[in-house]
Amino acid sequence: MPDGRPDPEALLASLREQEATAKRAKLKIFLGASAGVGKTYAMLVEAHARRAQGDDVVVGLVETHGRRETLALLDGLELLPRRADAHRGVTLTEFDLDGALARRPALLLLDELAHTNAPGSRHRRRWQDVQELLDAGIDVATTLNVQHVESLVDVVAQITGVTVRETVPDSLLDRADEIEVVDLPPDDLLQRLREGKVYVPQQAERAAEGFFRKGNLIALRELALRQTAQRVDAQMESYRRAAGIAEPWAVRERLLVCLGDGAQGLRLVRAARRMAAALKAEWIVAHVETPAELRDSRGKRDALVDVMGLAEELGAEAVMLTGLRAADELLAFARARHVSRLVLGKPGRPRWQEWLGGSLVSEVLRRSGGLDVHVLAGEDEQDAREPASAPAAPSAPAAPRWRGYAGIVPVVVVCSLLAAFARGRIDLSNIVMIYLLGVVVVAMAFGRGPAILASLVSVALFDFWFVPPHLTFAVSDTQYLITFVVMLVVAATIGTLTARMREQTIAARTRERRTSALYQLSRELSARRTREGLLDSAVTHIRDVFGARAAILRPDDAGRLAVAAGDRELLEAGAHEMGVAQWALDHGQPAGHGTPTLPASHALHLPLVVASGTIGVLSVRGEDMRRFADPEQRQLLQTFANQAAVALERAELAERAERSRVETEAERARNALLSSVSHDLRTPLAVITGAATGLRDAAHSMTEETRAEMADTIATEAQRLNRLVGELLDMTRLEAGALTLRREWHSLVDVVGGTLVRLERSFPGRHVALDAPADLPLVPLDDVLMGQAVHNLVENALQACAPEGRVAVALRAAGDALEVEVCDDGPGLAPGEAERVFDKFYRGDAGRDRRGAGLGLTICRGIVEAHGGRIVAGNRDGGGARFLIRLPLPEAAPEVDRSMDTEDGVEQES
Amino acid sequence: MSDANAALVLVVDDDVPIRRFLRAGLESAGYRLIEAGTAPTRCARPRPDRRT
Repeated sequence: MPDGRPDPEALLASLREQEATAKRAKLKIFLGASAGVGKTYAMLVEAHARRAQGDDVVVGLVETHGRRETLALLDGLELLPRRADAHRGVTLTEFDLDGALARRPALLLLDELAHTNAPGSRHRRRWQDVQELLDAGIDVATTLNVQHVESLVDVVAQITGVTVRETVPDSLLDRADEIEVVDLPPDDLLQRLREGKVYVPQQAERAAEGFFRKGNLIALRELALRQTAQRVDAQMESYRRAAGIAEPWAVRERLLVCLGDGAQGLRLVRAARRMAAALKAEWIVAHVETPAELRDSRGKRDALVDVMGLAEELGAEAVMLTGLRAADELLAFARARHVSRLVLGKPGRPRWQEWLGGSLVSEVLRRSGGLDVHVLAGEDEQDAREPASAPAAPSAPAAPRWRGYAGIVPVVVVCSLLAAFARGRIDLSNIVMIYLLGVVVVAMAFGRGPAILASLVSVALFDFWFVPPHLTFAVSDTQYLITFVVMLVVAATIGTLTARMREQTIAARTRERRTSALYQLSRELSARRTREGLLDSAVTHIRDVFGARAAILRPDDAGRLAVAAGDRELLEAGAHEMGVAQWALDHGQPAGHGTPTLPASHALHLPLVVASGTIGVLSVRGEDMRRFADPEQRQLLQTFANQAAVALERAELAERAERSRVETEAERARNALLSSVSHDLRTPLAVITGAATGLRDAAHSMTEETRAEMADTIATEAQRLNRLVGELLDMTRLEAGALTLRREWHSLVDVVGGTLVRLERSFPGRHVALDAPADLPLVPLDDVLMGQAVHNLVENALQACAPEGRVAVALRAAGDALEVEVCDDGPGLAPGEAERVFDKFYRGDAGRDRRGAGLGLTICRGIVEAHGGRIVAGNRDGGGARFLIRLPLPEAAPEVDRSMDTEDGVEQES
Repeated sequence: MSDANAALVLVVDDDVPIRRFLRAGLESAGYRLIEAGTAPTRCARPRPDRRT
């Protein structure tokens, strides 16, 4: 910005941030260096001030520790009743989260943010309660000692020798709108302690000897002040942006923390968090799953899950990569994500192991190019963090390593026996080959370590049995030493290569299984058209792949979850599981077993998230829930959930589109009906009204003939109106499915003949020929309705052709059906009209009589189809239209009494 | 009924009953009338004084 004006984009972003901040609930943290500095007191003073301003303030939970000044400040404040839970015969009281959510005060006071909730609470930690309160729009004031900040745990442990287990993620501090440091010089604090203002005397004595040493208090005070100073710095930065102060912007730093296979993960992540905070940098924590890691024990994988979980809690992006070589993948990822610094842990393995297996640090250092690489202390540590998952049964024993080494014994024995058998028959060099073969077998079966040991044993046995002097390890010819070295190197190399190939094969199989499972699921989901089918398919697939019970839950209109597919029992075990699933839906985050939220649940609940929001929850519960703690399995399950969510959304969109199409069609039909009715009802009504008015007002000036014609017009138009209303009613009945057939055995000749007689009255002088054979079988039909269908067809034909035109009706038996054919010599049907003539309100093109509502042929088709028949339209070869009804004949038809028919059948002219 | 000097009315309607009704009404009112089912049909007829 050369002109010094503020950047509009930055200003806009700042305004947006301010707007978002103004809308959301406020979090204020009273931060202190230790207990006794007066955090709770300061919070209560603030509460009184807010109350004096007219705010609705409620004390959710405050621990007074018997301090008189603090107790006095509770006077005049509303206290939320605590929740009481019985646990192992003891009644525990705890903060009532639901009570607070129901009470909805403007400001809620909740002491001790790092507190661990009593068993049975919704969340394990109080800071999670606070998050839910904030999400619900309730302002919260709380207290925190600096030693509980997650990223400072290591530092605090180093200073005080005490490992703090109750921690609060740094992201919550970042989210706080205000942090107020409650500070007290260490000497004053110690004085308060001695005076019994912090703890009761016995406790105070113990505290002064332990945690409350002056050195500790000074260090913790500095930590608290530094933590706040960092925040002030961030606020200052924010202010500069908002004010548009033109200063050079520092290049944005991005850290990539590379987790190796060492045990230093937790320490490394905490240190990286501090570094990222100091640099104001984004940070990513990545781990590469290599084929070799497939052999890792469950405990090692669980530890990795914990480290990744901690990284996410501390605000990092946790990424799991896969590849053959960790260094390659990490460097490629770092370059793809424009990382500026790499952070690795110092290797904790002996040098010989690094020499054999390679070192991630040295490889990254060598190939990092322009990237800065930080190698942090990475000594082994005992985990200072509680496991993220709920306490589970002891880990299943990993495949014992000794089994691989024990497996060497039979292989070398067999090789030695073979070699002994071949002794004297083949050269010593070929005996070496037998041992090399054994090494390959060991490498294939048991991996790299046993293969190397097998190489050593093979060299020793070869020396002992086959190199003179025999049965000793002595070597008479020093040339054999070269043989031994070469044999050892070749065996070790072959063993290593073979083992690597084996690992790659296993990795490829694992990847193939994962890909195949995903492919199968995608294929199944894409093949399903209905929502129900899709959900069933997804649940079945998840059940098969993970060997666990699964259910998909969907919210109803009120947002309440219900099982839409899968195992209902999974959630019907108690309201608790359903509540956990509901939480996952409401917050769009995983909940239940193996997650930080409600980990005591028996099932894992994953939200089905799509672009438009959370549309459901996938719940899984298996005998072995620990498999879902495995990053690979968890990732696969999450991918399944994502696939199901997308497919579900797609199905719903398709359903919505179909509904919309049907509605459009219905709207079109309604419009057509209105158009038709408005014209066809009003025209005869207008004629009737006009004729009747004329007869009433001007009959004297009319001739007798005119009067008769007017009366005739009224009668004709009334009939037309009646017919139109009848057609509309018939159509309504047909569409509503209310048409009841009264089938009886009838002669089609009688039905059609009767219809033609009725038509004579409407079309006097018109010619309709009827051709029917004498032996036409009876057919079960509703004679009234079928008569109506034929009536409509013949009437349509008569209207289509000229007054002198000819209409012919032919009846015949054709195989297992009876056919009624109606032909005219009118203009015929226009191209494409053959199907459209049966559409509702279709009234034909020019050249045909367009009277009527355009329902006659639609009704005709409805009646024919109700009889199980078909009707088709087309043009005759010689011109004119042709309509053909085909009615199915049952196998057994009653005999026809033909005594009244002529010998040649029926020939009728109307 | 209607003399040769009476106004000539052209009635164009594809609905025969309507034409019939109009004919009866208009002729009784003294008009001369020509009818057509469609517009092209009437082109060959005499030019009317009024149209409906």
